[in-house]
Amino acid sequence: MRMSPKPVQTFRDDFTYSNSPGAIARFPFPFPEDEYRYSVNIEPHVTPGPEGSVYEFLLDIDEHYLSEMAERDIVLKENPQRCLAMPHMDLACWDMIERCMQSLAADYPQHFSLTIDGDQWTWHNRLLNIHDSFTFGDSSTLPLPPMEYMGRQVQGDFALLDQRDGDLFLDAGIVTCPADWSLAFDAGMSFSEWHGPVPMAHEMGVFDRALKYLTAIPVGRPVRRLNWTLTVNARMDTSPETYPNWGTDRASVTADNVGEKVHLRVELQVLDRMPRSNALMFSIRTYLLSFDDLVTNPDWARRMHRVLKTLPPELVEYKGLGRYHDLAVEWLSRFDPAN
Amino acid sequence: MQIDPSIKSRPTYQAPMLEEPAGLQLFVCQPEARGLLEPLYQQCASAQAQWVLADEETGTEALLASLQQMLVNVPVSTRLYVAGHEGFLWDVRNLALEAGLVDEQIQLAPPVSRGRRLFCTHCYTLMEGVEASPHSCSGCGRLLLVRDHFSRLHGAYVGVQINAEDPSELPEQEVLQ
Repeated sequence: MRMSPKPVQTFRDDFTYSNSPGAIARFPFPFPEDEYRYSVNIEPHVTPGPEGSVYEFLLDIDEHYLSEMAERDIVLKENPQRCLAMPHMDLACWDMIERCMQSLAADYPQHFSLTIDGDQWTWHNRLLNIHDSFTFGDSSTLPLPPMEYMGRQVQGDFALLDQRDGDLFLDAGIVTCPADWSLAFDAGMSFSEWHGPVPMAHEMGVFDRALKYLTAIPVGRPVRRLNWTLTVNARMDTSPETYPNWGTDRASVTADNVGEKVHLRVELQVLDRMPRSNALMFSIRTYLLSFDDLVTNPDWARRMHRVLKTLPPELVEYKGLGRYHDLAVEWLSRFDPAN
Repeated sequence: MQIDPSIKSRPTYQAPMLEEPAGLQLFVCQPEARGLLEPLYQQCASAQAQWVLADEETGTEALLASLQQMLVNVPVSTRLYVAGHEGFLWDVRNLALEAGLVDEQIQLAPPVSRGRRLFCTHCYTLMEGVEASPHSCSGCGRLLLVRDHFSRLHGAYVGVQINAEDPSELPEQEVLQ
């Protein structure tokens, strides 16, 4: 089902965020097996994907668009350093603007349109009531720095990875809904550095192989992978910056509220080569699904139980599930009587 | 939470070796680290070797400023040997990269102390000489777990509130390795 944006809901305070039946049906459930194991689970992101799925287009715009853009605005007003672009990334930011605007206008013509006349571009975003004309490549003709300007109009976090010396460097991004990593701290890091805290995967060679694959991505051949964790409450901004605000959420889970409190958080990560700068655009599109909604699908309920039950302790720790992992497994077990 | 045993972003250091030939051999150090570079300096022909020292009065800031000036006009084959506290090593390295040098021209000696520069991930305050975890942030007052995750750009380790999930927990301080 194609999703139309609905009125603004919240990802904080009263947490009014909810998924419609259509949004639940298209949720990218990330587990191909009953046991979760690390793998280099990267595949081509061939578009158009299945109609109405989260894979249909390069950028997925769904019913949460207005809510996520409102949430992003709150985060950026609170802390402008959640968006940054090093000076040498200006060209890559314009690559990103071109790629996003062209994709959005082609894939969602009811919401977005783009008119190009030489280097004079006119952009219309009807969902946010934005109508701007600017000179392509000239950041002074935009109302905001290019990364922030584009990032405020697309769901999910974005990073631009500069490729040099066979490595990828995290040199620009807009990161307001991360699964516990800080753009301000990780800025400028190489691929293996910013994955430094991930347990076990380095020893398994996962990052060496992934880096070889990613540095070879050609223009026009994006790839994708899914990543996951659990989040208590429908909170988009689980950043280290704001951890003091949401850390206590983890201690708020009880046997009675698992279904509404605990959410499966899935990131659809897409990596796309930028033509002018040779940077990679890394989009991290986050989907949240409460366990109550998740168990409306019996296959998902059963598999979620098995995945959590067999999750290695290192990953329970790394994903920050320690305080409520047992409660979640116990709650899910009723949907998996054979196990 | 525990201190991660093997975080890959944490740098390792080796004693610098003299690389020759070089257009200019620059020995950059804080006063207490001079001994680490002295033997290498002695091996150089004096014409092409030069100290860049922070003296007690002008301090590190002045050293970085004068180094920045100096790097504008150095030969392409300049080599840099750096010794001091860890945060200082990376400040010098970052300044050199900005001036157009590459990592292959720069050797960082093992830090002279175990004191870490700490980046508070909540308020972005930088603290120097942190030797134990948890550490109270001088900016926001939060009790920070000092992790091994290291940023070369900041020359710092990351600190994250250790008791955010249960503020009543007050873990004992442990000396950092």
